[in-house]
Amino acid sequence: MRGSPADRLICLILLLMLVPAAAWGATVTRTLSTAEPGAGEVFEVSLSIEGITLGGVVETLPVGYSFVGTNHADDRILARDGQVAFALINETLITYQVRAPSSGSGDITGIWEDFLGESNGTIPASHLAVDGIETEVENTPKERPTQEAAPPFALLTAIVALVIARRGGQR
Amino acid sequence: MNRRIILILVLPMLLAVQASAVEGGIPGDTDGDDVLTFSEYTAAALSYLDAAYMGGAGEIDRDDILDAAWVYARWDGKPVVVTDSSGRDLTLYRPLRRVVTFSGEALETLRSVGFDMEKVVAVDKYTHEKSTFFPECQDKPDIGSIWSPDMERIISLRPDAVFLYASISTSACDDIQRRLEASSPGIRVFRFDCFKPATYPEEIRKIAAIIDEPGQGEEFASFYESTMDRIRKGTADIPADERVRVYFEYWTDYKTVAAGSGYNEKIEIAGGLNPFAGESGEYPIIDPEAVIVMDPQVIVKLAGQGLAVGGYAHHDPETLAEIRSALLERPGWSRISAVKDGRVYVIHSDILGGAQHFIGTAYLAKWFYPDRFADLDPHAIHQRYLSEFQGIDFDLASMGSFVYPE
Amino acid sequence: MEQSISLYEGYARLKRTRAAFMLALIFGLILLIGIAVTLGSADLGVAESYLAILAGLFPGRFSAPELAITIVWDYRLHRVLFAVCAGFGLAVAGSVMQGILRNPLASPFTLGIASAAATGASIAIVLGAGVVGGEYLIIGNAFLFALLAAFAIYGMARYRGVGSETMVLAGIALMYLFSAVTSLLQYVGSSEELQAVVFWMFGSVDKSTWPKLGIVALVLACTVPYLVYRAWDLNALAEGDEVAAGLGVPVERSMTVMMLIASLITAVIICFTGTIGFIGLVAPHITRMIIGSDFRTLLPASGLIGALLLLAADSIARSVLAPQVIPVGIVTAFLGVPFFIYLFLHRRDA
Repeated sequence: MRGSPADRLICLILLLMLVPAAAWGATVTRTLSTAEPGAGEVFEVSLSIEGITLGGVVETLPVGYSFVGTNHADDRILARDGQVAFALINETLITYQVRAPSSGSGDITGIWEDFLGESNGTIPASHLAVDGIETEVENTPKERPTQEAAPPFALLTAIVALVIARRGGQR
Repeated sequence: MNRRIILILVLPMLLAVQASAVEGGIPGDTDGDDVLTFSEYTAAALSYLDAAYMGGAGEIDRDDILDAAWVYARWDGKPVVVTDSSGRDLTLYRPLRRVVTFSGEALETLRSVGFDMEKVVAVDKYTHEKSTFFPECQDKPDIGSIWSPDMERIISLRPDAVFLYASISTSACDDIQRRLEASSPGIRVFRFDCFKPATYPEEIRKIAAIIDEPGQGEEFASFYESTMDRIRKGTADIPADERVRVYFEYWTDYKTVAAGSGYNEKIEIAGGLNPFAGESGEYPIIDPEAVIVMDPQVIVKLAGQGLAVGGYAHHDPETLAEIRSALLERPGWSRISAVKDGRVYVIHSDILGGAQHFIGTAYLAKWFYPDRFADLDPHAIHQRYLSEFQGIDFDLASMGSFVYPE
Repeated sequence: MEQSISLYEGYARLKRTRAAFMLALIFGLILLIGIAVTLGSADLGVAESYLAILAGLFPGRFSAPELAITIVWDYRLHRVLFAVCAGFGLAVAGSVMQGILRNPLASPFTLGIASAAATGASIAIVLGAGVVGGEYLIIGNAFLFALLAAFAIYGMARYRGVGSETMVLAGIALMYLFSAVTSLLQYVGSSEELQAVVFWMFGSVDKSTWPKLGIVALVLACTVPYLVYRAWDLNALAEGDEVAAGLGVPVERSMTVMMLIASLITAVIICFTGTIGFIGLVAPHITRMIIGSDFRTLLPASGLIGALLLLAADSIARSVLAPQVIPVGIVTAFLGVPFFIYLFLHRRDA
């Protein structure tokens, strides 16, 4: 696949937004220990995985929420900038801990990949709100491509169009 | 001056070769020791997830990780080494995903051992013409034939494996192999015959190993071997002077088969005796009088390419019947034992040459020794082969014509 | 006085025509090469093909898709250049033969060279015997036998006296001999081997590679300048042995050397391509019609025409039944038809 990782990521996220997620064969479901954590509280997220022998899951946390730890093996996770990747080998359950910010709400989104089954899908989003208070999802000064908001949509569509055009030109 | 000219001319070729991808090694095998260990696999998986979803900069793309997972799970992290029928060892570091076949027999065998036909990306022109036998290949690109290959199209399809013959058309196959390997070092060229009784069972198992379907391969190989071994055992104890005398006629009148031809081999496996086997060449044309003098006990006529009736493409038992009648009416033939006993048969090369030769050989055995092979049912074997192993919807009762009388 | 002025004018005009013709040929050839490189069953656009050529030559400054570079450099470019060189060589050899044999229907094949090469190839294919093993078995044999024929003609001609009649007769005798041997081998061989022999005899540029192109180009580079240098001798020989001798041309030696050189060029080309006919016959004729028989210009010009013809034939062969590639020898054989019809309709003294 050609195109910079950022392009691919944008394209993929857009695709995920536009295409309803359907899990074929494998399924991954997420449950939260609490959907309304207190400020600064550490809560648990559980992923129940069915039908994946070799694969992966990438979770994206909402702004302000941070990854604290997990029960999954150290050499099979990669955590950075509010995202966590898990390499799966036959697991059926993964739990990880998240610290809530002092205030803020958002969705945990995730994708799963089944390498042997050669399929992938999205994990339905789970909504979080500190103390149950909803806040507006805004454009942060930090460039966070995982947070999609209405204003940049047009810009993103244009970038996707460019990526597709460039890839088409290389065929 | 000599060297400079050659250098100027060869240099661009070297550059071109360098430019084409050098694929070696299992994806994710970072220490290059040809073993994908647990930690190497997990590192590769994380690297892929990072690059795909987290904005990371890894070199493992989706194709790589799918292949790495396959190798890790199904090949135990190690590459598969197969020796093809030309004696070469070929190492597979990744599963085959894009296969091109020049040989219809190899394609048929791939289908018998359960290969996903979606992974065949192009077929040769003869396969293309067989619309009833290879319906799923009709939309695949046509890459010509062994003697007239469309090299550009093959290269454009970026195959990872190409199947060619091992012991026929060798100069043409060698040439194609050389050109492919020169311009795309990652291509594996497999040389398999898939039509010779002596080597077919082994080839079935090897092809099954290549595509990682050992179970299916074993099942098909056993099916094949059970028929052929049954025939061989059933005829092993017949002394030479009691063997049935057979006159086998090729597509052209009075062209018979001799020791160099595969058809003769099958006659002998079925326990028949071909008095013309000692003639020179593979398909000698013999004097019509010699047939009458030889007084065969069984006569077999071959229908097929040069005599285009029957087979998978046509359902015309009447035409086969006509061919048989014409044989019976040849001058002087009414004196031949085979004609007097009504032991004159027509068989189609589709089931006697090629990968289905075990079906044809079963028919031969049954015709030569009906008592010994009373419970051998070539028709049922044929139907089972088509329905169970080839997976095509072909009902022998109403489609195709392969033998007469049935 | 007026007559000599118009003679001078006429000659000057002729020289201008020749120069213009050569330039036109060179341009046409470059244009055709440019077109031929874009033909092929891989889905490459015209721009992509050229970009791939540039990317191959100057990898730092230009870049093109990997696939395009592989296709153009590993499959197309050397084939096109090989067709150019082969056509050039065959046409030059044909011109030389027509000159020394003083026979407008002479070609490299008239001396039995092509038949001999076919016999060598058949021996390699059917009997598996040859001088060089492996990949070059057929090539080595074909080359060897072609040269064998050339030396046989030389030997026979020496015995009976070197002259155009003796060479033609010797050539025809050899042609029949070698054809008979080839037929016998075809009969004895298996159906596989027969197919291989027949295919070889069709003649095709399919099997070209960069090293083979290098060899042919090298031979041409060494021989053609010498031939052009000696073109005046050819002019003299064309007038007749006595005339040439009177002009101080060493007739026997010249004829022998020219014949051997023409045979060498033919041998080195057809050992790689198989027997491609009619280029050596037709190209010199066409050239002669336009710029006359002065070998100093006839040789290079007919070479260019031969290159154009063979490249055009190969391009047609590759395109007309795509994706099948017809052997180019079959297309050139069709060339012979309009040529002979033309000769038949317009008989005039060359």
